[in-house]
Amino acid sequence: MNCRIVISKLSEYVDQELGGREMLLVRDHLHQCPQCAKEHAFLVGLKQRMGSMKLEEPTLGFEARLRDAVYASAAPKSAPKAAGLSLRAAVVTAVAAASLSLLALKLMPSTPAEPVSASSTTADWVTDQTSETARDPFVGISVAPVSHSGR
Amino acid sequence: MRDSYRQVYALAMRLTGQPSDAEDLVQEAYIRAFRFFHRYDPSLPFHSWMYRILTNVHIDQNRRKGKIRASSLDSSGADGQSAWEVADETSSPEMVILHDQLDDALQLGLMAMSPEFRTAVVLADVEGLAYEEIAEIMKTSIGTVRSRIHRGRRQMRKFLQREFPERFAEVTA
Repeated sequence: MNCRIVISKLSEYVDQELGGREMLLVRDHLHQCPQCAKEHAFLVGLKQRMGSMKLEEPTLGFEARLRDAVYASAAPKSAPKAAGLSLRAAVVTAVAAASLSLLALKLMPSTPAEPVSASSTTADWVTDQTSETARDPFVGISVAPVSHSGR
Repeated sequence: MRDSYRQVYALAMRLTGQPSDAEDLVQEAYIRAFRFFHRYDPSLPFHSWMYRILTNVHIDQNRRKGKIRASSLDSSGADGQSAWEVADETSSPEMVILHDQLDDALQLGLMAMSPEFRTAVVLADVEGLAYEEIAEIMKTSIGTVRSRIHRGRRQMRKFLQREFPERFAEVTA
């Protein structure tokens, strides 16, 4: 391997991304070539320094702000959708109600039935049954208990 | 989210160099993650998925702002002179603050790179990821990752040699 090839492969060498044979060839060259060894030393130093850079922390309250922003971004998307759905549901309901009303009108008898008084009670029903019984000849009248003791 | 956002923020900080920009970047990344959570493959690490979203958002934002430099900073002209001119940035107020707050020289060197190079170098050197993982995160080939890391490090070396010759004399000599 000459210097040009080694220099082009040094990044991969430092990152251990070369295959075994190429790793050995580059390593051998670095032992023999001070110029390439210097380049290699720079890359190793750079990688070490970059890897040890201080881990930056977000400012106080960032997590809450982040959560709020994520939820806020979702809200405007879902609101119109929900409104659209409710509008669609309202239209379907209205059409269904109108259809049922028309059907009911068709099925309704021409003379309206006597309205049932809302005030009908059990007492009224009993009165009606009593009067009907009195008019019907086949309905037996109440039989009083018969005593045969007099015979 | 509680476990992952610090790690994601640390990466965002390396990519943007500014706390406010890093927070904006993380926020946008999480909003996208929330919106497209149905695409997440639970068999893969969550942080890798978040890294992918974060780096995409970062590159998208830079493209939108027109901050991407179309030509490489260390590309040399026909006369062999470097076309990398970033001297003014180090004297701006933001850069002075950055200089004080971060592992300054390296962060400045990262900021002088294009977002694609910076992302590849940060994922390799700060996060310690393998090329295959970086390729997966950046949705590109391993060959492209290899090239970006190699060229990014060359840019970093030139930057350090020029801007901080004393501090990095031992490694840039």
